[in-house]
Amino acid sequence: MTEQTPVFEVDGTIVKRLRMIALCITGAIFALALFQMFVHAFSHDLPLAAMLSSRNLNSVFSVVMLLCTGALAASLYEEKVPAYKYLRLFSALTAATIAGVQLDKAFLNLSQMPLDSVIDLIPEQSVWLVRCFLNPGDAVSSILIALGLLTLNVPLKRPSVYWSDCFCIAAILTCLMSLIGWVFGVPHFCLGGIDCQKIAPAIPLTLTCLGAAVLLARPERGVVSVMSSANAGGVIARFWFPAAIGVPLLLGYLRALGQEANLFDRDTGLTILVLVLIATFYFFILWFARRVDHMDAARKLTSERLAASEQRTRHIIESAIEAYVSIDGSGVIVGWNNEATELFGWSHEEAVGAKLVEKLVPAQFSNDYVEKISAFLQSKDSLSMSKRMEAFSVHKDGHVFPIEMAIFPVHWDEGINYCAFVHDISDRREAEARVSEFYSIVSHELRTPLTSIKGALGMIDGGTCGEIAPKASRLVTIALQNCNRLVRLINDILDIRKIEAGKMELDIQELDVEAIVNRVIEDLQPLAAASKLTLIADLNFYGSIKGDPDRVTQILTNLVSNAIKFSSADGKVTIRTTKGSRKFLRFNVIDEGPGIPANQIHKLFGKFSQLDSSMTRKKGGTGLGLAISKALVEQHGGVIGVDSVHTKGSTFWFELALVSATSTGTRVKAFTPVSLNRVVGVVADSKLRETIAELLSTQGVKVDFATTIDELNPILESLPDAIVWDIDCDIDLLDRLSLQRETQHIPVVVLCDQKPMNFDNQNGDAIEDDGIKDWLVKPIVSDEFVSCLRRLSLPTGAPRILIVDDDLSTREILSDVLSSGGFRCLEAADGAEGISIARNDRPDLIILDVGMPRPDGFEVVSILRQERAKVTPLITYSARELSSEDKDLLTLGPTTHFTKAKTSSDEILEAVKDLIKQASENTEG
Amino acid sequence: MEIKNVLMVDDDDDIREVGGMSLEDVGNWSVSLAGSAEEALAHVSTHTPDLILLDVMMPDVDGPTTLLRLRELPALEQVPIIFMTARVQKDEVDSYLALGAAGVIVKPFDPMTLPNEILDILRKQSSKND
Repeated sequence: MTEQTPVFEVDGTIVKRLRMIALCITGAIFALALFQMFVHAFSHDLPLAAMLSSRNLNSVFSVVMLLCTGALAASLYEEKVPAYKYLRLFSALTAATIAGVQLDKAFLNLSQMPLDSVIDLIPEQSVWLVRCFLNPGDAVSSILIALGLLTLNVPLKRPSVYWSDCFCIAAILTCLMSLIGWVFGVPHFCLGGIDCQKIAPAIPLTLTCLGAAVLLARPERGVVSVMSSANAGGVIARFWFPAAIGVPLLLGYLRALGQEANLFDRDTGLTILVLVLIATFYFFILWFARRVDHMDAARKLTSERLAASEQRTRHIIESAIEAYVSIDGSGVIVGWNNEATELFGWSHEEAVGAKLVEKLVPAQFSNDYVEKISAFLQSKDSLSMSKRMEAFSVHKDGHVFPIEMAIFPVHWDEGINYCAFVHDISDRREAEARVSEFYSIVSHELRTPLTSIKGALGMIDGGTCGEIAPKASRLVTIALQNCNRLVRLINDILDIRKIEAGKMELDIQELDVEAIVNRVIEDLQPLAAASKLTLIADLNFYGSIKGDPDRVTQILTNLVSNAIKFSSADGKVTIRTTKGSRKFLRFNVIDEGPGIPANQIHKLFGKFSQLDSSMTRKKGGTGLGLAISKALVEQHGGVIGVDSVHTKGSTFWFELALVSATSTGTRVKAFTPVSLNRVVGVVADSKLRETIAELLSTQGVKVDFATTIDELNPILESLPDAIVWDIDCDIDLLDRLSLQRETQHIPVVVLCDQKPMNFDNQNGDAIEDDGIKDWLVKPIVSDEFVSCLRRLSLPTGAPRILIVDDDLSTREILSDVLSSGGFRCLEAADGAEGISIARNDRPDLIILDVGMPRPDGFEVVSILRQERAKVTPLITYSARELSSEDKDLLTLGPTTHFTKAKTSSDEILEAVKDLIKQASENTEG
Repeated sequence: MEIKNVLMVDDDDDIREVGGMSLEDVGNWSVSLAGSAEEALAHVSTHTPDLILLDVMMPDVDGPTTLLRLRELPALEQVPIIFMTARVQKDEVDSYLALGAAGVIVKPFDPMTLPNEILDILRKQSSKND
C-alpha cells in the first residue's frame, strides 16, 4: 500500500458559495462606484461625458473600480464564455494604466513630464486624463489588484500558488497599512508617508474587499483553496480569514470614534482596544474550539461506527453460508471468506491477490468468462444494481461445477470493486435435469397408451369396423372426445413446463397477419359450426408481425376456441385486428358469451383457472390455455389482456410487435356455419364422396351416402336436412322423394357437368317445385359448395336483400355479413342489373351504392320510384356526405343513408334488421 | 412414388396393432410389423418395404440408431423412413430430419388420417428433392 498524500477535499457547494460571495462583493462595489460617479456628475452639474474627464479624485477611483469589477465579473464567467478573458484583460490593463498614471504623477514622476501642463492644453470639459491625485497607497493597491486580475490564471513555479494570489495579498496588506494607521491613529504609516488620519478610509476598505473578492474568484486553487475544504481546516479558514481583518479594524474604528468623542485619550483608547481585542479573540477561540471539538467528536463517533460496521460486515461475510468473493477493477481477488475456501478449495492467503480468472475460471471457459465479466463491467447494471448470473467455476482439485452469483458493485475512492455471493447449483441443475427427464418419460409413458386408445377408438368411430349400434357409437364418441381432451391436457402441461423452465424456443419470423387469422379460422370452423356460431374475420389493420408461426397460431387458437366454447349457439365470434400501442398490432377476439365478473378477471390467466371448474369438464378445456397464451405472448415481448362486461361478452386481446403495416383498410369476412345437421349424399364416385365428406365435416354436418333406392330408403326415414345428388348416379331420386309428403320438401343440390340453361343460382326458388334448390358444376369448389349449403340452411322465408354495387369485394363482404344475420342475398354488379332484379325478384330490401357508373344510385332510385319497388326499404351508401336534397332524391320506402368511410358492416346489418322490422310492422299495420 | 408395402416398427404391441390396422384398412397398404430394431433388420433382409415407420423411443436400440443401421443396407438407401414420436421438441425434429428421416409423425396419431399424413410427408419430401 502506498502512503496517500492528504489533499484538500474541495467541496463543490462551498466553491459555488465562495464564488457567489465574490460576485456579490463585485456587484456591490460596481454599484457603489457607479452611484458615486452619478452623484459626482450631478452635484457638479457635469454632462455624462465630462464625468470621466473630471479631475475629482472620487471619480478617478470610481472609474478604476468599475474597470476592476468588470474584469472580475468577466473572470467569474470565463469558464462558460472563454471570450470574456479578453474583456478581463482589457479592463484590468486599463485600470492598471489609469492607476499607474496617478501613481506616476503623485509619487514617482517617472515620465518626467509635467502632466498638468499637458492636461491643461486640452479643454477641461473633454479631457480623459485626470490630474488630481489618488493616495499613493491606494494607487499601488489598485495597480496590484489590476495586475492580480491580469494574471488571474498564471501559476508561479509552485503550482499551488498563483501570481494573482501574490498581487492580491500585497494589495490587501498595503490597504491594511492605511486602514490600521487610520483606526489606530498612527501618523505617516501610509505608503508615501501620507498622514493616515487624512486619508479617505472607504477607499482602502473597498480595495481590501476587492482584493479578497479576486482571491475568492478561484477558491478551489491557490493559497485560498483550503477555504473550499469541507473539513475542519476549511471551516477554520472561512471563519478566521474575515475575522482576523474585520475585528481589529472594527474595534480600531470604535476606538477612533471614542477618541473623537473625547471619551478617552489616545493611549487609554489603545489600551482598551488591546484588552477588548484579547477578550474578543479569547471568546472566539473558546467558541471555535468548542465547535471544532464537537466536529471532532462527531467524526470520531462516525469513525468508530464505521469501524464497528466494517467489523459487522466482516463477521457477516465470514459467517455467511454462501461464498463471498470480491475483485477489484482489474480482476484481482481482494475479498474472500471461509465459505469461499470451502467452495473453491483455495485458502484465503492463496486466493487474495491472485487473478480471479486464474483461480476460479475453468480453462475452457476462460475466454468466454473474461468477455462476460468485461461485458458486465461495462454494462449499466454493473454500476447501479446487483445482478444474478449463472456460470461455471473450477475447484482447486480441478472439477468444474455450476454456480450462481449475485454480483454487486461497491464504489471506493479509487474506483469500483465487484463483490459476489456465490453458491454451488450442481444439486439444482441435477434436480432440473431429473424433472425434465421425468416430464419427458411421463409424456412418453402417457402418450403410448393414449396412442393405442385413440387409434382404436378412431378406427371404430371412423367406421373401419363396420356399422355399430347407435348407443355404442355414442359411447365411442364420448371416449374419443375424452381421449382427445387428455392429449390436449398432456400437451398443455408439457408446454407450461417448457415455458416455465425457459426451454420454449421461439422460431421468430415475419408473419402475415391475414394468413394467421385465416389458418385459425380454417382450423376452428368445424368447432364453430358444431356450435352453430359464425366466425368473423375483421381485419381493420393488417401487415406483418414478428412471431413464431406455430405459437402465434396457438395463442389465437386458444383465445378463439375459448370464445367459441363460451358463446351461445347462433351467436358470433369476431377476430378483429387493430392498431395496438406504439409499434404493435392487436388481435382482438370478441365473443358474445356471458362475460366475466370484474372480480374474477385477475384469475383468468392463472393455471387451471376456468372460473367455474365444472365448466372445464363441460367445455372440454384444460384450464391451461390462457396461462400458456399469456406466457407465449410475453415471451414474444407482447402483452395480453381482456376487456369484459359481465353478461355482455368479452374481448380477449394480445399485441405483438409490428414489422410493417400494409394497409389500414377494412377486410371483413364472415364464416357462417351451415345449420344443417344431416345430409345424404347420393353419390357413387368414391373420390367425390371423400371430398363431400371432408367438406361437410368442416362444417360440422354429418353425411350418409347411398347409391341405390334401397340404400336410400332407410336413411330417408330419419328425414335428412338436404340431399346432395350426383346426377351421374343413376337413380330416380325426385320420384322417390315425391312419394312421401315428408320427403317432398327435402332440398336437393344437384352435382352436374353442366348447369341447365334455364337455371339461375340466385333465383333457385324459380324451380322449387321439383325440390332442386341448386346446381353445382363438378369438380365441386369448396367455397361454392359451402355457400350453397348455407343458402339451403336458411329458412325458406328468410328476407331477401338485393346488394347493388359495382365493387365485387364490397358485395362479398356485405353478403357474408348479411348471410350470417340470417338473410338471403341477391347481388347486382351495376345499376341496370339491380333494376332488373328488383323488378323480377321483389327483394325485401335494397342496399344501393350511390356512386356507380351510370345508371348511378340516383337514376336507379328514380326508375324504381315509378314501379312497385317504390315502397321497398332502402339503404344507400356513398363516398361523400349527402345533402338533405340528395337524401330526398335517394328515398324509396323506409330509407337509411350511410357514408362509406364511417360505416361498419355491423352497422349495416343492424340497419337492415331495423328496416325489415319497420317494413313488416307497416305491412301488418 | 407409389406405396404398397409398409414396415411399421414400434415396441408397443397395441400401437403396432392399431397403426397396422389403420395403414391396412384406411391406407389400403400391405403392412409388416416389427417390435424391435432386430426384428426390423431381420424383416428387411428378406423384404424391401416402400416405406418404414419407426418409433423413436424403443428399448435396447432406439429409433435413430435403427435408422442408421437400416440405411447401411444398400436396398434401403432410398426407402423413406418416417419417425413416430411423442417428443416433439423442434430441435429433436430437426435432428431426426438431419439423420435422413423423411418426416416425423406425432403420437398419438389419428388412425383415420394417418395414411394421408404419411402421403403429405412424402409429397413434401419429393417436391423438396425436385
